[in-house]
Amino acid sequence: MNYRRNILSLLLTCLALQMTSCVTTGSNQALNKTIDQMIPEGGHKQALKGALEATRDWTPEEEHQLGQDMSAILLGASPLVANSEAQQYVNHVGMWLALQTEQPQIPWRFGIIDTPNINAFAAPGGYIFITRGLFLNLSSEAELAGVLGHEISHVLKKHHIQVIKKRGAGDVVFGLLKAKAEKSAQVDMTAINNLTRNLYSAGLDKADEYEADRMGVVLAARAGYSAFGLPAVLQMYAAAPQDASFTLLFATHPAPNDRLNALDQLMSDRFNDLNAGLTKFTRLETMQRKLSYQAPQKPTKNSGSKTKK
Amino acid sequence: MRAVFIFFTLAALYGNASAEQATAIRSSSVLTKPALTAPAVAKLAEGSLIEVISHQGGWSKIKTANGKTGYVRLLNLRPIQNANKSDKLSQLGNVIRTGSTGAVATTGVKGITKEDLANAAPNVHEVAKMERYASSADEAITVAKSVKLTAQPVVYMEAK
Ligand SMILES: [Zn+2]
Repeated sequence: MNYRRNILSLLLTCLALQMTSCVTTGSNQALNKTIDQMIPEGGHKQALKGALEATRDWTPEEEHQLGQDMSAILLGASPLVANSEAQQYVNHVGMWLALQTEQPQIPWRFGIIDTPNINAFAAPGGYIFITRGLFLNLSSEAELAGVLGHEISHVLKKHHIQVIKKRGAGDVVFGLLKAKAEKSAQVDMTAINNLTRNLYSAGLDKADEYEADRMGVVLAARAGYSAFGLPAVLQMYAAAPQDASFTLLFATHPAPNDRLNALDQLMSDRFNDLNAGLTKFTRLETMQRKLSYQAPQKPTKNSGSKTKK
Repeated sequence: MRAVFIFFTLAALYGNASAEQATAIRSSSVLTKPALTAPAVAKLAEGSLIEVISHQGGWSKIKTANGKTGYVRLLNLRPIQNANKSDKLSQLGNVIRTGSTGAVATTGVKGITKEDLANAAPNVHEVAKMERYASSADEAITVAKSVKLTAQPVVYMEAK
């Protein structure tokens, strides 16, 4: 009995060490084998293996599943804008940006959420959202590219999953995702749903926001846009009045002028051609007119007609 | 009727890009054109208050306190929070949220605030809809080409 407990604590120490270092699948397999050899069948064994699995990197499928569940909460608050042309447009721009990243193979999905609140969101596994309010307030496609580039970077860097793990919820979420994938009976998603509501209300780490700004600027430039689209959006935020439509955005991000200061430091000696990537097309404006609050949408009219620009 | 009123109010809020005030965080030349070689029409001292007219690439078109118009580097400016626009939008939001005007609630104007998130039930149907609008890589490349966007080699920036 005592012997077994010692082995257990030894293994748990191994696990703890593994959690702090970056776990590779190979060493996990080795550890799994050790567990098989040293621990008799029973609850301990299962628990250990479960804990061990939770420390490995999540597969793209697991990330995508979590992204789906998290997106369902966002779209539960406000649905997608019912305009297929505008939705396809952000997918064209977004996918073009995603192709400039190191992970073009992710199933990237972009959507405009039907709310006047000004914000943009990402969820693991390639889900990116911009609100109708922000979409209508953009002055150029370079600005759209900057916003989407920022959100794409949150996915690339797995910022949401990091926050989940940091809050100690990694094991629970992982377990639920596994159970869902294995279709083991009815999986109670309450924990993931609550975590999601909480995560989007509280936001990501501030350092992650600065990182997403740095990367978003570069992704826009890689896609052939001006690198100054995101800084221009941040200028718009900084000038914005105290208004409820900005409340969640400001509650979950560093102050716009702090973000501008951080970009200013880095961009001053990097993007010397201030006129690079000036675009001449006006397809953003065309789409903005379609989503304008001025004219109530008539869903069947206009939709489907191809606008050449 | 009320729905119409809401749309016009929202239109007014989004339609008028009200002038944006900003301060120069460093001394800057105000140039006649958005080009580094263009002649200067004025010089801004650090801390000068100006009015931003528009943005173009890395440039902001501005109007100085003396009424001179020209271009300065966008990142040389830091906007001042706009005190003029009251919170019409939030009032509007409240009207919609409380449903005190029955007709308005049917316009489907929703929010994503902390409260909205706290009350949100998962909508898997909307998530599934996103598959319809998805773009393939080939499609995105074709569309980007059609507007003459070309990929550029740019390396990531490290934090300072
Ligand atoms: Zn962000």
